[in-house]
Amino acid sequence: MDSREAREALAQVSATQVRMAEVVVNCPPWRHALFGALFFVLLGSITISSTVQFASAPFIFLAVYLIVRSDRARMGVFVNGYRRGATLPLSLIMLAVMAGLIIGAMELRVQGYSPGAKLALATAAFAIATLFSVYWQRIYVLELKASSN
Amino acid sequence: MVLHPPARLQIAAAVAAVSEAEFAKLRELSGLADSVLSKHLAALGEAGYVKLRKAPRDGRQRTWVSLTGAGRRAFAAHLAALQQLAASFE
Repeated sequence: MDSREAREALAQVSATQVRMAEVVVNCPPWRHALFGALFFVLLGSITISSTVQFASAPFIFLAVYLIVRSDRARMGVFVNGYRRGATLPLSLIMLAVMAGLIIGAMELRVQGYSPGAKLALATAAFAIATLFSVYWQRIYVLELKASSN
Repeated sequence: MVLHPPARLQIAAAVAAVSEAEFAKLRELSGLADSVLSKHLAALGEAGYVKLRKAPRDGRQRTWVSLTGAGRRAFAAHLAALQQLAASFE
């Protein structure tokens, strides 16, 4: 193989990864909002009571399963949120933020805060998770497209 | 040398970008015929570079393809070698 063939092979790799990025970029807004809604339910249920928290757990797991199944059917690919690469720092930050919010939700429950405060925390979780999903996708697509530069 | 054929490199590049890709999506991205894609996937599987998994959807069996750890390392090494080769003669 000479240098011209090597450059052609690299160009082919880049083109393939850009085409894959175009597959993943077609993520509808409802998909991001649905991810946020999962965290709204999770955090909201924790603020109410342990009974509600454990009762909602099966529905959250079912929702995760259905989202993954929908992603696979819609795109023909699956991308792990904790994949190595440019998205990993963002995923770890999200994990830390959500862990903090879970502790906050438990504190609201134990201290008997008002429903308004609990709703505010669950809404914050929804907003953070939805924005996280949007930015995660952007970083992922940029990472794949950067391979063509 | 397993990744040397352009079609296999293209398949590896597509699967490396995701955690798992469906056979039909790889066919669409690569433009290869079913039989040719199957042959290349079999070769990559024999080398231990890809893992094939069957899963039902809409009443049909679908094949999902993922790169193994060895496959990811081999792909990265192959890319590095190509970059070195491309740069050395510029």
